Amino acid sequence: MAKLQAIMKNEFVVMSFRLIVGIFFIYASLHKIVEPLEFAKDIQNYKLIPYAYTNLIALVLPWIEFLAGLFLVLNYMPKGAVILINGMLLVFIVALSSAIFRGLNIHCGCTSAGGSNPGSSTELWISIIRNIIFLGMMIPVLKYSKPESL
Amino acid sequence: MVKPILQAILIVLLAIAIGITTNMTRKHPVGWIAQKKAVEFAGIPEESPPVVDSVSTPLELPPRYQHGSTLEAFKAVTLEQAYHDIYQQKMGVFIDARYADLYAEGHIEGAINIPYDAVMDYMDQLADIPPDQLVVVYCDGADCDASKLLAEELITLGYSRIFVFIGGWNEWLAAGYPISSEEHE
Repeated sequence: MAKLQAIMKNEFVVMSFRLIVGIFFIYASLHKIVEPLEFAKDIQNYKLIPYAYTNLIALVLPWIEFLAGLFLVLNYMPKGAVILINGMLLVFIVALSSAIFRGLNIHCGCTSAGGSNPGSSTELWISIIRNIIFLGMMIPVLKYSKPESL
Repeated sequence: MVKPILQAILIVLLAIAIGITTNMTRKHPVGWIAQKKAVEFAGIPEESPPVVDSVSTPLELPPRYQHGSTLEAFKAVTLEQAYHDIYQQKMGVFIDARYADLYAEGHIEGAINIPYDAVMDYMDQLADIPPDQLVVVYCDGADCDASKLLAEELITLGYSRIFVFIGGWNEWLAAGYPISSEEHE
């Protein structure tokens, strides 16, 4: 246990986790920023949010992903960024799980929309597992990251 | 703990500001509130599609609509209308509005692919379709909007006889009507 804690405290480990998750969030946000209507459609497919609000979410959420990812990479306000990223990861995990539970035949909408076949739930499962791993990676960042002062 | 929460709020506010600003500077700003695409069926109630057995019972065609018109500019056809009246009678062109990979996996036989969000990249295919040609657009099924979005786009481009096949690919496939895929062609 102490060994695990030592690894988690390791500066290099914390930095790697920050960069991996940060870059992923930036990457995931780009297509949605360029194509908000496509992303709105992906949100609509989940049937979790009233239809009318989906455009608004599609216009703002990708920017939260982008900024949180960017700040994580830059180590600027990393704890604020981690809170947002953890919040988003949790929401995504719940949404993806509910889609699988309801047997929805949809695209994840996680990265670039419409990339693969929505006929199976594999894409959704992979995204859930990835998000859980990311959540785990955010623990040491939240606990041990030392923000740069910009 | 207070400081990180304040940071998070700050990031959200910044995201909202950038999201709003970038949308306002877009060439075609996205509406803040999503509007459902309303469709009405082509002269028949959705619940009980009548059996239409020949072209002699023509579909009620929408009038030519002006540019910028959105709602009610296209009408919907049922599976039976799409198959018996249009497909079998070779009355019109079928356009698959889904993404190219889904089209490649399987589509209505003879349908061409114009993904709803990339119409401009498929102008070559459109050039072969005259504006007064009867066109049936479809996507996965009742829950998808791609067909309606494409229908609007085509009407804007001047097409006057656009029908949305609401049941789409899922209904067509379930009915066992002719399909093809890129692998078999």
